[in-house]
Amino acid sequence: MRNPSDLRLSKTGSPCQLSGRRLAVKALCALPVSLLLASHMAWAAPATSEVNTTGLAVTDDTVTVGILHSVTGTMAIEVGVTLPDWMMGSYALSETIEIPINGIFVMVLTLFISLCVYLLMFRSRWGKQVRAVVLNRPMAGAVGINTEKIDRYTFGIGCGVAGIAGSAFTMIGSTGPTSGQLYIVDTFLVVVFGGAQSLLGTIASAFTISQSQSTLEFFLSGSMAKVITLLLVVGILMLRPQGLFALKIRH
Amino acid sequence: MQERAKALFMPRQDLIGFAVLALILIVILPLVLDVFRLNLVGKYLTYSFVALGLVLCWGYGGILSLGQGLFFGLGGYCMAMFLKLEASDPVSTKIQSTPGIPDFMDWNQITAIPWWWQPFNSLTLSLIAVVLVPTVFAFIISVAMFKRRVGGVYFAIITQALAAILTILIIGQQGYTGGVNGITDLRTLLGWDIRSDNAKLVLYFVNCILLFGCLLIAQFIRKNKLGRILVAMRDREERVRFSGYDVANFKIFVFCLAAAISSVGGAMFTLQVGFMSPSFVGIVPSIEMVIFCAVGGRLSILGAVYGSLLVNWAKTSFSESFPELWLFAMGALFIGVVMAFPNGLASLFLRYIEPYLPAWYHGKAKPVEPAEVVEKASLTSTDTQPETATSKSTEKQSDETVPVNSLEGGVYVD
Repeated sequence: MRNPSDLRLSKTGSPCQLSGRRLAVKALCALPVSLLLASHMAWAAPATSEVNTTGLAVTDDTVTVGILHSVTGTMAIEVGVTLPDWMMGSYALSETIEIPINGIFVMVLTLFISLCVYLLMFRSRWGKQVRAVVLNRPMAGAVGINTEKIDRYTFGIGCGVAGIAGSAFTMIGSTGPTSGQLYIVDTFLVVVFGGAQSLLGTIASAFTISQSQSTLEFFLSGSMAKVITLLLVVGILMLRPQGLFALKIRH
Repeated sequence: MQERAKALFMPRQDLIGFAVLALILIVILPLVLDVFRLNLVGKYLTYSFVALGLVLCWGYGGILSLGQGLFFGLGGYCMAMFLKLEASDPVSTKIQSTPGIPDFMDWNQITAIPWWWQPFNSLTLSLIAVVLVPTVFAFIISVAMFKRRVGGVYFAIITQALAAILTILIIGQQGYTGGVNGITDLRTLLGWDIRSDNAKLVLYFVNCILLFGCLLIAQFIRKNKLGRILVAMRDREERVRFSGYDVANFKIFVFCLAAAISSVGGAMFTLQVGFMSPSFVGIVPSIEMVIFCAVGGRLSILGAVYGSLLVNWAKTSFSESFPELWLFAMGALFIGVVMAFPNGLASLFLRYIEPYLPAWYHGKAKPVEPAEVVEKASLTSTDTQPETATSKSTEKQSDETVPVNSLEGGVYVD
């Protein structure tokens, strides 16, 4: 198999497999992950990727709630990925607009994963159990749901989706031991901004954040664009902590 | 009620704990280690300021902040700006195209010191800024969040995002902040060379004194009504609110205090290490600081010091002796601590060592402070659920004179 990302995909699939630096980062992540996620088991929500209208594909990250594992997902030794031939090149929409094929591939992959997560979360028995556990853990336990098992599986699937995000990411950017760190904040914010319990919100917020960032980058320097985008998101979250799409629930 | 409210500021156990720590830090380490190693220990101790802040804020107040590096960095940068201005006097920078400004500004074609650098010409203003800037920052963040009753994970994420924003900002604005290299080449403090061995020794002791000052503040809060309200707030926020306390104000206070303590650590870091860079501000250092706190025990103020010392010492010695394996070793340490004893080294001490200590350590039998019982209970039990912790503690301490009812009644002061 020539495509290294495929290998990595299978790697991230098995949670026990730890390679060199992944261990350290995983360890680093273990604490906040367990802290944040043990009690607040939100669910995996892959988000969107976007194809920039200027023709340069700025495909942003796929997102999960197993966020920190996006770090570990891509944690191999520094690799330059050789894309298979069919993924090279771009599709010319018109004379000025060209869309890279790898961008399209990642977008299709993302849509597919989003669909899978939707089906899993909202159309399966397991998804129903996850939602029950999130809404009211003691009651969910009382009606016979094994909440710990649900936690474990949810976390596992979240990590798996993050792993897919990582492997998709290598098709666009270079991957190194620290590349995941850059995305910790983005992924957290995307999920919170979208409303932690809304799949649609996550997609919308990922699109908004990445779009506004790349638009701002056109006018400002890259770092200032990032700073302003993040500040805006933080500001909005301070005004509207429940995020864009909040479930209306009586607690 | 009246008698119980009057907590002993320094019970015998804590006094001994403080004395042992003082003995180690002020007597044993300076005698045993050479100046280079002592300077390293001093560097580790600056992290313990942050860990101490986290014990108050996270362990007692229940507010997890993943952005303490922000305050550490702000304090450190305030100090570094003063030292840098002093280091770049017109005489020593005369080869620059604009003498008298910091070298990185000169490299970035900036010809005058920006207005917000001006206050850092004065040591007094700089020292005020070291504490004030991070505290004001923390105040703004926490008022915006806690008055809206946003907490928990959301707060952690926002603080983490802010730490990331500051890092990106510092790196991006190279002309004003020194960029990714940070503010380097700091030489003197009011003409006193901070790089000499003698200065390092003095700074180490200053650092220790400040640390003990902060520890005493923390101990004061812990043993006060304030500390008990914090614990109550952590475990039953609604109940404290319905008892008539403004929960948000307590959270704001403890978060600002943690920020102020962290900033002192940052300033001492700059003085002892001789530079400040964004790599001590961002997400990874902030998470590491949470780890120091967790390893030491997030409910133990002395544990925070031991935790940061141990983790950093392990980091240094692993990387010196096993350059290939040290990341594995660190990983094993973190996972081991989190898995095996979630409440850190302090819980090990309480469970396995304290019961076997001689009678003079425990002092004469006296009614145990309610706050302390709950605290101890959550330290000794591996479970973080307050209910189970309480019930376990009543089983364990049935030989002591605490009836079950007073336990709750004492914590949630009616």
